[in-house]
Amino acid sequence: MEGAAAALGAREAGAVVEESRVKRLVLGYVGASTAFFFVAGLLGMLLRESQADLVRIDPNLFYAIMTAHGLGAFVAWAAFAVMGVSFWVLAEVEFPMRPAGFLLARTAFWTMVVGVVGIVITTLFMGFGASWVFLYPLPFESAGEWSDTATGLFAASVLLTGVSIIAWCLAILDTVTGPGLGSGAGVLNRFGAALGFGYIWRNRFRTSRPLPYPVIPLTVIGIDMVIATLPLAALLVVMIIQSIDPSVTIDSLLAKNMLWFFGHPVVYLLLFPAVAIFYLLIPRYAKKELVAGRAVALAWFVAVIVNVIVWAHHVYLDYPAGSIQDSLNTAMQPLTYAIVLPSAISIYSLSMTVWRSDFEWTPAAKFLAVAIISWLVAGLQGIINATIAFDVVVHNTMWIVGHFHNMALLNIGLVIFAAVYAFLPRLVDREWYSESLANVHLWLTVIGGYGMVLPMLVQGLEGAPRRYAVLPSEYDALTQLTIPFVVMTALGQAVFAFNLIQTLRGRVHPRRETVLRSLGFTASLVAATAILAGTALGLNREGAGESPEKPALGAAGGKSDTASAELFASTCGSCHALKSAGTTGSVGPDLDKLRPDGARVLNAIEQGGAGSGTMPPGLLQGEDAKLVSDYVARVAGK
Amino acid sequence: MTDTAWVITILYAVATIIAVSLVLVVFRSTRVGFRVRTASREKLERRESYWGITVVALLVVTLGGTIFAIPYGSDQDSGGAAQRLKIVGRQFAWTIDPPRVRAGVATRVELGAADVNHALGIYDPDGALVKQVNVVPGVTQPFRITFENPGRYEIRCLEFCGVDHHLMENTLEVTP
Repeated sequence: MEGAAAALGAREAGAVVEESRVKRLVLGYVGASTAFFFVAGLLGMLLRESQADLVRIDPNLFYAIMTAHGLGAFVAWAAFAVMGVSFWVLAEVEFPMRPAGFLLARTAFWTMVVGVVGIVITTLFMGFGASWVFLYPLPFESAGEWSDTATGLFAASVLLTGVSIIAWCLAILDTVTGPGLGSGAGVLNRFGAALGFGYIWRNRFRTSRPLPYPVIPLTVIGIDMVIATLPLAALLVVMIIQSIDPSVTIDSLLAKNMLWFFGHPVVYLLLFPAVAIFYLLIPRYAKKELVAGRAVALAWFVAVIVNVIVWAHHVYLDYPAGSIQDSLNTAMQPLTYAIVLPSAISIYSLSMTVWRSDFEWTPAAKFLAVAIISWLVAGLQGIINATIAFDVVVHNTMWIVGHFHNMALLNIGLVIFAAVYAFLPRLVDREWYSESLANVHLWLTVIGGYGMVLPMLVQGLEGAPRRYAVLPSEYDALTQLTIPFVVMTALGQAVFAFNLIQTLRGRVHPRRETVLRSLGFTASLVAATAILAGTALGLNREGAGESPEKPALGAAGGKSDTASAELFASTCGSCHALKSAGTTGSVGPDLDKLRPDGARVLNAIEQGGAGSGTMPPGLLQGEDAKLVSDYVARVAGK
Repeated sequence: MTDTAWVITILYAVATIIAVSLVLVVFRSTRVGFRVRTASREKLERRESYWGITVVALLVVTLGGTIFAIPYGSDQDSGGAAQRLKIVGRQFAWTIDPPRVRAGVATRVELGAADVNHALGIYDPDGALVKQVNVVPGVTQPFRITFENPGRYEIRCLEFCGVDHHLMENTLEVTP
């Protein structure tokens, strides 16, 4: 009671921010992140279409787009969206923001927007294509594709998004320890209470009302992301300095660990706020309180600690001689298992809340239900990834890409959509234009999404490498099968955009026509998808016919110039220009100008380059070496 | 696909089908006919702890079943290999020394990277990915492998290393 009185007093004294201002803040986050989502989604579609040979993008542009798509979809959409929605979740459970927290939240908004614009400029316009994990020292070894200046600006942009995340954490922590808690005690006690310790030690952490469950995961991630982001910030600062003064460097293995020290918890920057949204909305639709006891608070206690000490599962395949990395990696398998607990217990709580309830199946509720299924489907993949003996099979393959899209798009993404469908009416004071369009959005996203994800998982189990601009031809069939589903997913988002714009314009869908219209609309969508899918497949067939199959490397049977040219292009073409093979590499000498004889070429292949010494020896052996040297001697300069 | 990939596929498929079926039953329970009996809240909360214990037990079993299959120890063991192989990656090519090895005997491979992060992926003559190992520049990453079948093994780079990453490949001849 004292706490409630204190809260009331704080409100009267004007120490909390008015709800209308919080609404505008959240709308800003939702609007900006949704805009980034459409851009990042289109870039992703382009990548998969390029892999399927529908449009073939130049390799460095492919990798630059891959960098932008990864950071764009992950940080600028999913993270940014849940960051904004979190403030509204807190408002709904009556945790008002205070001026300091509000200022930090606005800082987080603007640093994120500027950082994302910087990432877009440095990748798409300055060619930075070191991938979205930018493994050091690749950003400084671009093979001439981008400048160190681009690297420095890229690092500065990512640093801004890091600053945004830290500012957001502080804003959340300021709010969860604020007047909403109704705890008069000292600051450590307030943190403990916000972490749900009151459910474990009832007498030690007293609050004037039971702590609303959505507060717990937000507090957990608010603490963890401050800890996780600081080492990444240090790495980015080193990179910025190196872009100006090349003598400053950092150890590659240390840099990899610093990156993943951030890279793991940032996944939970998406998931934990999504869990908070589940905790708020599922009980609302089930019309009863969340079924939760002590175990859920204990699980979050485990999470807040373990989340920052499991990063090494991202470097399971690094165990160089004479380092402690192997012990570190091994220790992190059980620790990674421990992070399963908050998910396992939460899924139980949510399921038991739904169990035999008078559940209200609104569009938002349906999004959440499918998201719970995806949470299980993708979470079980996570246990496989956490297991070293299994990870050594799937680590660098498309399986991980599939797992990631399964989790980020079909679990967290669906929760974000659910939050938008559930909260927007209160944020803008009007109803959705159409509920049936929301359902169309859901089903196109789910069917399209799983049609995208499952082939990725299968390709990964078959050994398909991830992050390849052009995949080996044996994986082409599944890649092409994916395309109609990619198009279907995109159509789903077009429906969402239409519904959103109509809602914001204040249009109201006439109720009595809803069923008829939505039936017609669904039918036309299905027809459009079928046509697009058919076209895509048709185009693929033609495309496949036109592009000559790449021969198995060194298929000595092919004595023709075509086979030799292919062999030359794949082995030598990235460094040497040769008009006959259509290669334009500029690392080594232009062979059309050099016009070497067969013996010289053979010598270079066997012994390595004589000049700057960068051409490694033994690139080709035996008959292959002979085949290529004869070919080069025959065609160079002609 | 390798044997381990099949194990993953089967375990994963079984676990997923069970888990998703359970959740679907929960969703179905919200239909009117199912709602007559409301479960006691206290009972459900007690079961939450039992469920937590079950999850921990399942994870401990999985840990026990897989922790000894970690390849680190055997990969770093340098003794008793019948042949040696040195492989170095650099943008965008692999150097393999010697280019020919024998099948069926233990081989010690010393992997290095000259410029940036690379990863070695070894595909057997049937196209199955039989081994992958990452390497950061400046370290030696040893591992042990036995090439089971003679033929051409394809070597691909599996860690993104720049513009021609997807073209960074070579072959290794494995003789009987």
